[in-house]
Amino acid sequence: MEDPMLTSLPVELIYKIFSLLDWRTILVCREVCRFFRSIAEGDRAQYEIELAVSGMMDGPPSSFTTSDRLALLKERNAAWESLRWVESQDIPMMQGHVWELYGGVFAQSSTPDVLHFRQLPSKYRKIKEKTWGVALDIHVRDFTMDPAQDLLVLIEQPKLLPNSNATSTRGIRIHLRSLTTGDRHRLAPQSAILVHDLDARNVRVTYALQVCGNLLGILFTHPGDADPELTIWDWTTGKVTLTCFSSEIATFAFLSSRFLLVGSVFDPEASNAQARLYVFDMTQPSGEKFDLVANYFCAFLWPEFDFWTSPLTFSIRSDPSPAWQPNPEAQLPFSTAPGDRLFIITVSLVYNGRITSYDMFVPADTLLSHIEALPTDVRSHDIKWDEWGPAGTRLMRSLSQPHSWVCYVFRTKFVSLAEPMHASPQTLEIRDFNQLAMKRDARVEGGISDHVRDTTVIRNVFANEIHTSLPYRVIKRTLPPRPLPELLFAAVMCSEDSLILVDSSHRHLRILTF
Amino acid sequence: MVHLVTSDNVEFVVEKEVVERSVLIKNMLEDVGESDQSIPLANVSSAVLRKVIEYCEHHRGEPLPSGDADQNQDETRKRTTDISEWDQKFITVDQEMLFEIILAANYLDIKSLLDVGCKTVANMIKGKTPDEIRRLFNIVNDFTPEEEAQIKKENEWAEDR
Repeated sequence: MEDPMLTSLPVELIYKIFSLLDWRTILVCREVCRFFRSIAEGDRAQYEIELAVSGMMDGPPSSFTTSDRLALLKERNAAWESLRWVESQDIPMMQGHVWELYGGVFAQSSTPDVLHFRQLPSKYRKIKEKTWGVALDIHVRDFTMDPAQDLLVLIEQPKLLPNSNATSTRGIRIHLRSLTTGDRHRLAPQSAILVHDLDARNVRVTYALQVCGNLLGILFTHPGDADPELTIWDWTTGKVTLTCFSSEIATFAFLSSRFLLVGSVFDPEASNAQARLYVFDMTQPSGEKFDLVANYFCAFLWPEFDFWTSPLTFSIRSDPSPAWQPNPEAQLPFSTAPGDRLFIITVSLVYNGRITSYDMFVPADTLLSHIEALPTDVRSHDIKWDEWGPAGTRLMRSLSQPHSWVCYVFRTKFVSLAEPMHASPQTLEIRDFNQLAMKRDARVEGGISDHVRDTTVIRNVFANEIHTSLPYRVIKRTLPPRPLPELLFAAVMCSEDSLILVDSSHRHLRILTF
Repeated sequence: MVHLVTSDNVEFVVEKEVVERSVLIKNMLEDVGESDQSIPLANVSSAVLRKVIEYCEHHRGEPLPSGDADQNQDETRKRTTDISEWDQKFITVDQEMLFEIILAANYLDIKSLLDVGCKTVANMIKGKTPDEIRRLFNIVNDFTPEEEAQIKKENEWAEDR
């Protein structure tokens, strides 16, 4: 018998070995010999590469074969690249005051105690539309959800006490429910209610809620002079992971399961204001109360504002959370993978007596690559703008998107209506910061006409001229002419398989399905 | 006890519990029932079977993976190429033996051993250039220089991170 070699193994074993290789190694193997090239160009290896470039991961085993999945994924990518949705559906906007779009479910309230959910359909991922309602036994002030974990987090409308001077604190009740039934969540601790004490003098509290796996973060802000408070819980145990009070906290987002991003604008009277992105290591034991300035792991510094610039608001948006995992029971052929997320950091400011706002587009990779390069025992390490910003971000004047419809980002895509209020017909625009997909497209002649690789220069507002050059891709499509009654879409939102156009004056939503 | 005879006519007497890690042999024993007759393994040499039995003895009593769903799951979901310390030491053999073990594990249907072998090969490939892979596995470059240049160019986008 001849001595066995790698290339003399039965072909199914070569396939098995290739299935254990990452996509970059598969591409290297393609260069080895004709036999390897044929395997690297087979559906199984091509699917692996296509998933990586699309930022997707494979779904659980099901009736979809690898070839089915590859074909669906390619069709899906092509549909998004040309903004060709397969279905358009109009639904009414309800009269309630709260709504949410997360994990492929759109939710809105009709009254303070009834929530209506709509699982958005998908052609390419074979998701059926489903609607259901949950009538609640409490008045909801605000809420968030994670359909993949069947989690609904409700903040109960606090009861106004007639003699609020009598006590100095007030318990805010946070309910952990099942998204499908409204009953207590099966993974929540006993009562499924987290009670959080807040200063009672502040009646009008606003909440920003986010879920990242087993973590729940809530930022409590008060219009009065009490400091904003950020608390992170492990909602499955009810234990507080960290609490932080500071007048500087403006916004937060989960950067990874380990790192928390806290946005802050510091405006000293005597010198120039500066925005910062603080990074906290949530695995470090820190005692309950966290000091923003003393306990941070590192901070990404923005360029200094001009002396005459007054920042007003600062916000971070990103979707889905870094730890997000689809529910395996959904049997989807593929889903968004953990990994690269786009963070859109918006600052609104007054300059020359006018209010304007600027969007900074930052991939999680830009921040994480700097964080990973730091020694693990580092504390309070400042990363100057020139080290991370100019090549790793893109800072642009904001499009005039109303701030209330904030779900304008999904993974690496930012969606907007170019000149939403007056143009007719309106134009839909996507800026996609998927760097890997752009690199791959760039090798095809003519495939790069929509890539933006120039440098954006901002000459005023900041103390120095700001140059940023992170490449992105622009995809535009003019919306079909509007039917009567005339609809005027003021905003657009994005989720994994849909775009949602919002006409808030006619209280009307249009769902575009992919 | 089960009697096995290898391609080079060596007889092995192995405990049933050990040899049943091979799904092929397990099914055979179930079909024919207990007997003193030896089972011929025409595709496996004594040197290789000795290694395979060493592996099976070390892992005796561990649950056998079962079902197609499991197998699928393994191949598509877990791209891990971690190998336990003992297995790593066990599989540190020359290439000829490594491929013989892979072939034997495939023939005898010992899934965990097949996994260890394939993972080892995958780990040998990772991080190498095409030329290093060719040299390591004695693979002939059968591309024309033009084809090779073309593929290199097509792969450029994936190289820098």
